[in-house]
Amino acid sequence: MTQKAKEWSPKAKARLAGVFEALEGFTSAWGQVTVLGQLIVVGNAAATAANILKHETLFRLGFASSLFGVVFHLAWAFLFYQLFRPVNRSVSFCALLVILVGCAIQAVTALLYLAPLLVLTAGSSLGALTQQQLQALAYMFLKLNGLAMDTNLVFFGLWCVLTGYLIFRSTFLPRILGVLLVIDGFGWMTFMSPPLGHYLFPIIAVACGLAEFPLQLWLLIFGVNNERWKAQVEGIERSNSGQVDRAGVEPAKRVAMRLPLFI
Amino acid sequence: MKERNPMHPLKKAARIAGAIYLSLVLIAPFAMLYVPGKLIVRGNAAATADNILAHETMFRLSIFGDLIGHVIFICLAIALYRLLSSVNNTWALLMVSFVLVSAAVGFLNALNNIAAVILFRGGEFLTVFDKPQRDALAMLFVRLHSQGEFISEIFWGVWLFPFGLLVFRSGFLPRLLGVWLIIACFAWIALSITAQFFPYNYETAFAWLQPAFFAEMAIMLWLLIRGAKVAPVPAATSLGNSGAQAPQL
Repeated sequence: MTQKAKEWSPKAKARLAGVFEALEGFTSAWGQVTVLGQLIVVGNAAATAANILKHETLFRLGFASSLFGVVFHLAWAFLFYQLFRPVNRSVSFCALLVILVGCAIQAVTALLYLAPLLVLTAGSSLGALTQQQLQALAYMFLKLNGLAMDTNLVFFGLWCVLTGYLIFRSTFLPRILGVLLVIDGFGWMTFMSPPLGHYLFPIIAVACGLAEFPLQLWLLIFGVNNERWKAQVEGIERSNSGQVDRAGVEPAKRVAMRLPLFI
Repeated sequence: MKERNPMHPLKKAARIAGAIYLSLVLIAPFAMLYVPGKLIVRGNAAATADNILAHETMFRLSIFGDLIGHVIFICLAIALYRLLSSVNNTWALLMVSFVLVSAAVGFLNALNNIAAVILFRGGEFLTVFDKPQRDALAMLFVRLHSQGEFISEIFWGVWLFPFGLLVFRSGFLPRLLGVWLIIACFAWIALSITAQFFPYNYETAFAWLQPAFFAEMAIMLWLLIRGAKVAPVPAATSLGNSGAQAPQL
């Protein structure tokens, strides 16, 4: 069919992935870190509640921003899957599944983000609870939001490790980016124990800055090398051809299909 | 190509997707609109508690329907993937990804309703709260559930974009339906934003955006009744593709 001609080049996909990555980084960080950091008074439920009610629109914007971050996250994770499928299809698909779980957690986190506002503005339906109780509840949901975010980071870390491996094994991106991303991924995975993760956070932040930021810039500026990407696709096809014959699909047809099109 | 086959595989895939869609359309309104509308009294925890305790089976059925609905949603995505992956695999896989995340959110969101039932019933471990407090807490979880649906609405929207695009490009489904689905995508997102920032205009927005939402009804009926329009000659390539792909999913 005609879409073969319209299929985007790997370079364009890589650049688009860089754009979505930047959008996701900005929206998630703004919602989860900047806005919440501005409004939460650590250990003081009453002051936090007062802040949220005073800056309700900002709080809602923070929520919406972190929610749209999920959609951007899905988009770039998906483009990464496409880019790295020729390197190793199983690992790439595995990374996609890991990030889907991460995104689902991220989306549920958004509900916990919103819950404090619901508690504080509920009015008559929560009339049976005292002011202090409501504030404590609201604060608890904010803490839950933070913990859910930490859980999401564990999956993100695992994704970074897998993707770092794929970058390392690819021929179309600098290997050093892959190594850095693996280190960064192990850093995020320490959030399996949130206290440990928070303790190590300064180091992780440095690793993140050294790994994710250069990768993002590289993708935005250079994308990937089209020719090498195609060469890797063809290399995979050649090495797979024995398998294909056993499956009973004639090689000519396989070439016509280029990459196997299923998942 | 396959004369023995009574039905073209593409047409068959379309009919299957349509049938799954139909079952979703039958279940979802019960769980999402009818039961909450009947049992939940906004702003009145005590009345809601009475309603839900009096019709506990109905409420539990709606939770069950909610869960089944998400299972069907995943099946629908896979069925549509089979139908449309030959058009463009990238967009088809993206469509499935959005649906999977939406279903995960939906499953977890059902937990909020279950928490509400536990609180309304009030077991022994809850005796430290008095009844109005329990009802209030339960009401909070009911509200959280409906907020969770506003979050899901984003995904009910975004998955329609790749879906609509694939329909538009397919050549075997009407292009108009593709455009309509993409409009529905933006309508859902607009509705979700309205729910967040202008909650009092939600009903109005829903009424205005209603025509867009009928896109899904239209594509469902089209798939079920008309299936895919298969022209003998140009369909040969897509037939080859779908025939080769469908079993591999």
